[in-house]
Amino acid sequence: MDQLQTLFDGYIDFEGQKLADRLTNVLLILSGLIAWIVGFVLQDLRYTVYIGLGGTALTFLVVVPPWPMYNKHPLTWLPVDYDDKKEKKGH
Amino acid sequence: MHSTIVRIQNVFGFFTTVAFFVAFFTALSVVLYPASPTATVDVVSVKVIKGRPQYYSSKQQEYAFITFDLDADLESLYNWNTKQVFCWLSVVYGGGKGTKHVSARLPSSGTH
Repeated sequence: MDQLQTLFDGYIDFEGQKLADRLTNVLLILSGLIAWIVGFVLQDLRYTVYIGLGGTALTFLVVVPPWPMYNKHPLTWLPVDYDDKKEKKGH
Repeated sequence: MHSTIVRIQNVFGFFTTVAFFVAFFTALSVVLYPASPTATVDVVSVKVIKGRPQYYSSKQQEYAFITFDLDADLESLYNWNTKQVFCWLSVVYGGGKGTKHVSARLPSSGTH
């Protein structure tokens, strides 16, 4: 159940977020561009709609699930220092 | 972009922006394809008959039967952004003494 929760939350590290953001922009702009060009050259709006929607679906598949490539740079936390806590309690 | 839900929202939001611009440039590109439709209408015969709307009604009305030749070229209206073509036939006829010219429009719209 815990694993399911982690999967649903889909947390990724900061480098992964940067990559996800860049991929979103590149993939969506590319699919829009290709969709428009193909539709204009072939003079058929169907190509524009299908390529545009297909590219968007691809973008969703690539960016939304927490793939391992987005977790290549996990945060390294400092180890807990128990001595410090004892000193603060005796305040 | 830190969680799945946020990524879904961002991707969808940018998708709507991209879709808007694609649609905008599509509409703009239509300027390169100016429409020049042609049509000729020749009236072959006009028959005016007095009749009733239903068999048992007492009201008598005039009915006009117009036979005409229509030759129309609407090919130039169809560009890649055409979703619907609206065309109509306009009938202009004179009335009796003291009436002005009236016209009836009979629209027909076809989808691409």
